Amino acid sequence: MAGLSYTKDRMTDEHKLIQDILEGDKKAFSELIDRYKRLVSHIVNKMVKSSDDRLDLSQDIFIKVYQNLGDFNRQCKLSSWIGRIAYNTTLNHLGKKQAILWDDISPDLSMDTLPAMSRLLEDEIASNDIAAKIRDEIGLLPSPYNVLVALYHLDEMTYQEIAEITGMPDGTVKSYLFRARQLLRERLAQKYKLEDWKE
Amino acid sequence: MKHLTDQLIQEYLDSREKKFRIEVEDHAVYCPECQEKLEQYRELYAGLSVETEPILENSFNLSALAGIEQLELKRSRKVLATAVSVVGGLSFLIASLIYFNLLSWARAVSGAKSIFSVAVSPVLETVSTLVKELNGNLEILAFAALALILFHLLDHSLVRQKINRI
Repeated sequence: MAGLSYTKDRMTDEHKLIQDILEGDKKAFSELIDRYKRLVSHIVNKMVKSSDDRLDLSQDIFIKVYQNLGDFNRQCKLSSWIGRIAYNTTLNHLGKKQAILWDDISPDLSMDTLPAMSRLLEDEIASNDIAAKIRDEIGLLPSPYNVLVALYHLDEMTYQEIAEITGMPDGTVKSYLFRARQLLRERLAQKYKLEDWKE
Repeated sequence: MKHLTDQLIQEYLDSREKKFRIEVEDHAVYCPECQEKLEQYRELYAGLSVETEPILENSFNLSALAGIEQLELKRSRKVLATAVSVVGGLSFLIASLIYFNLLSWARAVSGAKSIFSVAVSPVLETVSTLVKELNGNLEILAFAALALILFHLLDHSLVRQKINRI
């Protein structure tokens, strides 16, 4: 019941924020950026490597949000809506540079499909820092696996919310996440003993 | 003995539901192999929840807002440019009508008993009256039209420059 009340309060708060933005309040839009730049960063950073491109793309995303806010269906979650804009805008950006399509990505993610680790990464792993080890392994995950992992574990989104953002069925989101985590564990277990993990 | 599957462990860590807890924890207590796998997953989940890449800085808000302002400026300039080109175009049309003395042709058309005369006549009469009144100020009208066209061209080039800069 408390959760329901929280959700209702949050929605009311979001509706007020949207109304303020539509009335031309720039501070309200800055507030919206503060709330959702983490989500946008997670999507853009995972899909785009160049830091300059990331910044330009993030700006394009928030401009699109501003331009289309009047069309936002207030029955939906604002985070999912903004996430979808971020995801589609990034895909379009990538499409211009390299045509990456969902169909091109094999659902049979395996250890062989991941690129070999660079010298730099190997040096970093030698430092025995588990966070660095996991970060490096996540960095090697191809899209969309890395995006799904970030949305689930960093933004704490549900399968349904991730499905709304990516346009994938709930079941596909779940199975991709499962495969990605299984692969990460296997790769880490293959390289390190459990004692090393805990250091 | 049947070991815990990766799927079951992940479902347990994702949901923490009682049905998974009993199955996973009870088994892991007596199975070192599954205990190790469970611990690995726990460490992995903890690592996955750690922010590893930079989030947009505070200065980003200002640049995004500046981008929006530029966009709004661009839009308002476009509206202005369209209005100026419409007025300029109309002025040029009227000036041309006077210059080429097309009014006489228009009168001839309106005078003819064609099937179009009923519909066309009132319009031509209005234009005719307007032109008659402006006829004395032909130079002023032509100058105004020219000035509007020049202004539009200047405005257009300024907008283009601004767009390129954005």
